[in-house]
Amino acid sequence: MSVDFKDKLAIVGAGCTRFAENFDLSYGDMLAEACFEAFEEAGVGPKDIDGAWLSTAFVDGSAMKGRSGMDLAEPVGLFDIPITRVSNFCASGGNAFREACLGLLSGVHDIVLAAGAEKQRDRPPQKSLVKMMVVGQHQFLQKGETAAGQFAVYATRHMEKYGTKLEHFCMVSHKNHKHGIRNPIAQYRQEIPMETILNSPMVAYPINLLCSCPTTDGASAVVLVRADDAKSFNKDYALVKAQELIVNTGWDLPFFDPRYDFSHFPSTRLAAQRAYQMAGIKDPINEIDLAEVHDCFAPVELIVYEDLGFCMEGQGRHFIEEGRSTAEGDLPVNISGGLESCGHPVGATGIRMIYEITRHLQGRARERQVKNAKLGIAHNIGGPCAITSLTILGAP
Amino acid sequence: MIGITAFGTYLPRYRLTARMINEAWGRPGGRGEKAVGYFDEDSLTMGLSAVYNCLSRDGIEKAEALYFASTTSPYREKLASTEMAMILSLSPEARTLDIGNSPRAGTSALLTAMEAVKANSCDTVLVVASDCGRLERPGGQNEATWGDGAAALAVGRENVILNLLHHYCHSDELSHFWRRADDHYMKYEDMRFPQVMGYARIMEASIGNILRKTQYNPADFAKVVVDTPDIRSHQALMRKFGFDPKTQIQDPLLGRIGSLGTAHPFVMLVAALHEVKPGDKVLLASYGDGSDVLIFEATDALPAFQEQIDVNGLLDQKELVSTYTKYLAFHKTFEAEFQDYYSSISALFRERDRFSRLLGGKCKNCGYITTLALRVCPNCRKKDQFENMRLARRGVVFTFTQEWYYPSPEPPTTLAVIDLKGGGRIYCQMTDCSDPRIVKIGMQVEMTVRKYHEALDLPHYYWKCKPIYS
Repeated sequence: MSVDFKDKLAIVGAGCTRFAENFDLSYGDMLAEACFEAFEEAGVGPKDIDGAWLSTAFVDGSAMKGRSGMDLAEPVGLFDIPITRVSNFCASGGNAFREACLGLLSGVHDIVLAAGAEKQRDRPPQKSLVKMMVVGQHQFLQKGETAAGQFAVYATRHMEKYGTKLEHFCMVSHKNHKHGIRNPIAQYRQEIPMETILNSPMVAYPINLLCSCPTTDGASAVVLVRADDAKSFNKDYALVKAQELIVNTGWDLPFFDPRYDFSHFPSTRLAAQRAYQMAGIKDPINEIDLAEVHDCFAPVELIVYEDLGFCMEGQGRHFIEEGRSTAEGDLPVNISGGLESCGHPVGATGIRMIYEITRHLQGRARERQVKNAKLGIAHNIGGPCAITSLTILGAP
Repeated sequence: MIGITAFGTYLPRYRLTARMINEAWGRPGGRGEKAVGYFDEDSLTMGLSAVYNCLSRDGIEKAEALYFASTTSPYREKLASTEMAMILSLSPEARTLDIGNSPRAGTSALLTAMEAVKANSCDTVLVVASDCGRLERPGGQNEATWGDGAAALAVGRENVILNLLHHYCHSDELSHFWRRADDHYMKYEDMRFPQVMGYARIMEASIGNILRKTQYNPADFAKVVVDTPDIRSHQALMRKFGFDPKTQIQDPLLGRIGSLGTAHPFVMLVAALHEVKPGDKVLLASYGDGSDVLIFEATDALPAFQEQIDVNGLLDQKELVSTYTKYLAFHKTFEAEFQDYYSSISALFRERDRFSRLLGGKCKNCGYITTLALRVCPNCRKKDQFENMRLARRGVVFTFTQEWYYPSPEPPTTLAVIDLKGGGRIYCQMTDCSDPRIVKIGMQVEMTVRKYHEALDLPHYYWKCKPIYS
């Protein structure tokens, strides 16, 4: 039996810290900021929350903070309720959001919190995520690789198969940095000339430095209730239309699996198919008003255009070339500036995207507001490609 | 008849010229070059490469003993021969033995193998002679002297190529070159004394003695293959016996590959063989705290072997190390940033079929082939249906990336997804590829064992792919 999410759940409060090198904020400080912003919008306090999910992907850069639900309890004052830590690579935030939804749908909970936080910059960038990939994993498998390389093998294959060029990936980064100027919480808020992006040093061919997201601190939070109750908390709420979480392979397996093609992300394709069905979306490019998609490295966004059905397979380069995903295009993608501009505090990113879509649906996204936004999607891919989280939100 | 039944040699791809060394130290001139191991090579990996060049997989697995001769074993305590036997899937009953401490150890291992076959204790012995990292102190006068390389020989009774007729061993302590137990660099004192009272005296005695004992004349040999630490001493010795430089004397190759330690007499021997005919006699001599001298007769099996070898191809398959500084980095002359790589000795042990032996798993139920240590088939989802299978050591690049931020003395580190011929896919580093521009989807590669890192202070050997240069 499958339970339909559509129109049953509502986001009544959302909060997000600045995404930056938050040298002045601890892991707990950031959670307090994000959660209390969400509480205030929903008109609740910590005592009202009856179940919470904390998304933190990696804990070894933050004095182990984030390894359990306790690390949400202490800084936010949430006591005597179930709190669960969720870790699912870059899909952690979407996953925590999903668990919160399920908590409401099951009827066990009434007012729930999904919060995400990641503290990366208490260590130099080279010693955070990069270090973990280089030294932490299996003694042989994928040895030689950083996070960029895990996605780069897809980009190389996409170039070979569809004639995509380095320039097309750089266009994605260029667009997202341009969008980021208008987002007050983004780490980078400046346009970067195409030339500069194209000529930035290679990180993992064909991914260069300015097609890579930075290492960043941040936290984000949403308060959810059942849709029937939403108005009593906040008249300006957003409805959950669908939530899908797909794990389609493993951490090592895709690289060693002869069936894998590396020219698209099967987990995203499957998640899109199921989520669109749940939300009743038949023509994504015309029905969806804005999308926050996972652009940890610029080629990922280009490939995801195809996997989310915004364009045909192999046509991602035309989609970016024709400007269809810009603020002025027919489906603005990463109007927030994406991970390229905002940075990617892994556990916080998924809920930051949900916060972003919510603000647009509320008409409260200020100068970056997508006009008449009624339907938005938030997409994360992680692990490096095995897990996709897809959340579809709509205006009431 | 007992003798050598197969040969394989291996030289690393890279060369360092005497001129590059001199330029680095602000000195003029410099002639010749030497073979230098890449940053991921050591005597064990080079030895394995020589074995793969020596025998087919069937032939290797039939070996009943593996003797490893090296002055640069990766271990002080722990058998490199046993680790090689494990990687090569030899039977656990195979005898293993490490022999070392002198460049003479290669021929000593060969004679020991001959004796084991003669004593009927086994039918086939694999002798591996390999040295990597016999180093002069940077800036020293012998920096262009010692090179890196390996040879593997099969010893047995059937299909003998070179039949051992006679041998003579001469032991004579003399401090020519030495390294103490913890030394990273070679030591020496006077250069002239060991040339005169060491090499000249010892080699004249040992070669003279075997000629006297066997009643051969110097002119009886089609080829004279004599190892030497320096070219002048070799020339003087050859003159002393009156060997003909045009027809008999095998060039010691010092100016092309350097002095290779235990492997050197064998690499010279293989280089000499293309001018040998069945029935010809060949004299082989090593040097180091004495000398081993061996006299072989070529058999009718030689011509078939000659067709397989391409010594000039082997010597010419080369590329210069880009800079002298990189050469120093390859051989850990200065300290690289410490990387605290994860590993586990229990994991290494339990996963050695897949990762050390490169045995694939083939699902008995659906035929899916994996190179991972899986229990459940990702294709048909049945549990415990994987059977070990041999995987091909050749394949094609399906996709790749090049990492500029992975710690390496020679970035970028190329990682490639490889489809192996006959099935199975593996994802690993590409080596012997200092020019990243040559990497393309669809390029042909060969699999080779290399050292990935030294977590737990243990060398971690796993497969890399390398371009097939032609």
